[in-house]
Amino acid sequence: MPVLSFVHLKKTYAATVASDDVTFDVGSGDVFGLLGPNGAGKSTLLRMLMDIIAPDAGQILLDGRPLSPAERDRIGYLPEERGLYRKEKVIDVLIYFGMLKGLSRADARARALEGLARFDLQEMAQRRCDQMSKGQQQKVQIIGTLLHDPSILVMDEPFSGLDPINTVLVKDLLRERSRAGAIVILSTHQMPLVEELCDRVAMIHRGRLVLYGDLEEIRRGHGEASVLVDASGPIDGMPGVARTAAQGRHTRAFLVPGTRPRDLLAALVARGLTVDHFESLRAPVEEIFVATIARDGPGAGAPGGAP
Amino acid sequence: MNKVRIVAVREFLATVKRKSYLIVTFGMPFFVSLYIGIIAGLPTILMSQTEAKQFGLVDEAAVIAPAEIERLARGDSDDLGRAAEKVRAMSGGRLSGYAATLLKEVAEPPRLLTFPGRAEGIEALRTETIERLYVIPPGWKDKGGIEIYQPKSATFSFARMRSRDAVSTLLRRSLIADTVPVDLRPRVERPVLEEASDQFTVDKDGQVAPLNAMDQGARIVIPAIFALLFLMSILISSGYLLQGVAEEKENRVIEIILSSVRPHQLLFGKLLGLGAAGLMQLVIWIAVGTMAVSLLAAAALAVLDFKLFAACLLFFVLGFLMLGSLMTGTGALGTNARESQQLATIWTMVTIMPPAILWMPILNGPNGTIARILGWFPLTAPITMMLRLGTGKVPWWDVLLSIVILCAGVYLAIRLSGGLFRLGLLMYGKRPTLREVIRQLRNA
Repeated sequence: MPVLSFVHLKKTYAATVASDDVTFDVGSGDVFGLLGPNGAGKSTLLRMLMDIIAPDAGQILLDGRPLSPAERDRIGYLPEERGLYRKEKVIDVLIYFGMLKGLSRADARARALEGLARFDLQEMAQRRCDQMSKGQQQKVQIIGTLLHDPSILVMDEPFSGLDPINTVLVKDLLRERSRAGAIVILSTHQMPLVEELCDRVAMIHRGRLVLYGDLEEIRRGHGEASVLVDASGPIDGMPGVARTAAQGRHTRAFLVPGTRPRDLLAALVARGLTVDHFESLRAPVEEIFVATIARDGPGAGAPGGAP
Repeated sequence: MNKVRIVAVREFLATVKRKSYLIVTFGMPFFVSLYIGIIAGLPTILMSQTEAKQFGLVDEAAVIAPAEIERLARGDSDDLGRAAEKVRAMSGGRLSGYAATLLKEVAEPPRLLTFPGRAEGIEALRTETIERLYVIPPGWKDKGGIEIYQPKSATFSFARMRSRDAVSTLLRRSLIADTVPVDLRPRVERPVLEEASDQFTVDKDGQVAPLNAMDQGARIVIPAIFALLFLMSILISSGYLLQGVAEEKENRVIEIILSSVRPHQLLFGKLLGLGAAGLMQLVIWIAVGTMAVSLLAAAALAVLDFKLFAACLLFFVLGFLMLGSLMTGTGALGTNARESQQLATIWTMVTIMPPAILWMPILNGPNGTIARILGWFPLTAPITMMLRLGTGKVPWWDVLLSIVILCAGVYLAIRLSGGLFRLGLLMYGKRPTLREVIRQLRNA
């Protein structure tokens, strides 16, 4: 199973540290989430991966070896700052992107038409790019990223501008690529999508790696344990309950550290209360994100537009 | 190299397929022809309405020989007139428009009317019977001065200029009429006849050979045409190059492209593709325009001096690659097309100005210090070497050294510009600082 390693990467722009000794691994078969506030240094990391900018120190390895030019051609990259040649035909732009990744003209054309059909954009092939809506352009950019069947897929905010139907389509694509054994890196601010798609995450703040690992483990290790309860009697004051709060029709009970959800359920049953709903809650990624940033302190970070 | 080719082909096709390119390429010769037609047509119409030019002469010094006055009144042609008549005869009446009118005017000699006194002459000028009045005053033999009268509204006229020459010839012939034998008079008038003279060259072994005027012409014409084409191609292509850079930056497509190609590959591909589009435009204009004659002449002269032609072509290509890459790299630092154009102009100035100012010392001393320094400095080498080569006096090692330095300059320019290109392209809406530029150049 191929592993992509970011090893002790450093990059500084004038007085700003965009990447401060960042080290983490991304394995294949997972969707890896790269998180962080605006200007944290995520784009810098991705641009170093694509060799668009050179690191001041450190390296990026694939299975322990530096990436060769041929391996870099196997990367599909959808940058946050992206666009299309506005005055040119969609099919011509896609063929050009494919050829730059090593496909023959005929192959690039065939795959472009296939991709357009998958996104229901067949009739747009001969149109000029500026005749498409923003969402359609976004889909064409995603098709361009996948044309050469990349073994490493890097997508920076791929869902921005997409309607719910196409969001599902792109989510399926990412899962599909991941199941096919590709290394998939997803950079996004949409935390519900991170929860839904990502198996492992790394969070960057002020150029530093502040959170990294399996998402489930991170969630278990962060935030207060709580349960959502709908019982026939009051829960306040019960042993192991620190405090309660109304949440819709239910009550959310925050547990005293050391108390497990099943201990509370046992206590409720022992009191003879009828329990209609009992749900163990994990800390939402968004809360973890905010708490981590707050703990680390706010920072200006790397300028988003800096190379 | 494959990616360079892919970029070059796309840039070329994307440019030549644009409506604006097609309009400019094919519309320009049409509009220029129309413009020339109007400019040429107007004087033709105006001149056809003008009567033959007449000039007045008052001989107060009594020096003009009566026989000469009769000749002038008859309208005997001068040398220029005879030459023009010859061209008219050779063209077989195929000439039209401005050229035909001009030739007709030249073939027609100025006619001189004599007046008994100054008052009659001035009256003829007032009534517009004559265009100009020449008075030879009594003291002319001692002082040489004459008096010329013309209407207040008079402007420059070719015929008027010739009438003055006619008066000089008249005076010269009158002076020798009684003193020099008839058979010697033509020699006194024109001691050296170009058409009857011969020129020879002597080489280092002392071999004497007739001078080939065509060969001499080629030595001047080929470098001159190449230098002109070089300037034109740079001016035309720079617009396309900078437009190409600005467009990708504005479309935000550059990061996608840079994830697939190295910056110097992209730069080189753009240079080849957009440069080819610019050169094609130039060739089309030349082919359909009045410069076709110059190009045909250059091609014909190339047969005479192929080595010179090949050397000029090499300097043209290397110069184009170097200047084009520097302009593209620097142009990428601008935040918009106008700023890019201003930044790129720096290189054009450095390339053109020194040889444009110092062309005289370069031609006079093709192996002098100035000529050598400019010929070995990569930016000024293309035009300087074209000028130096035209003299035929530059040693082969000097030319070779210039080519080697220029090749190294091209390589360095593409590397450095690739770095600037990368730095500039990812800067959206802001220009990099000087410190960032220097750091990028060091990394390149």
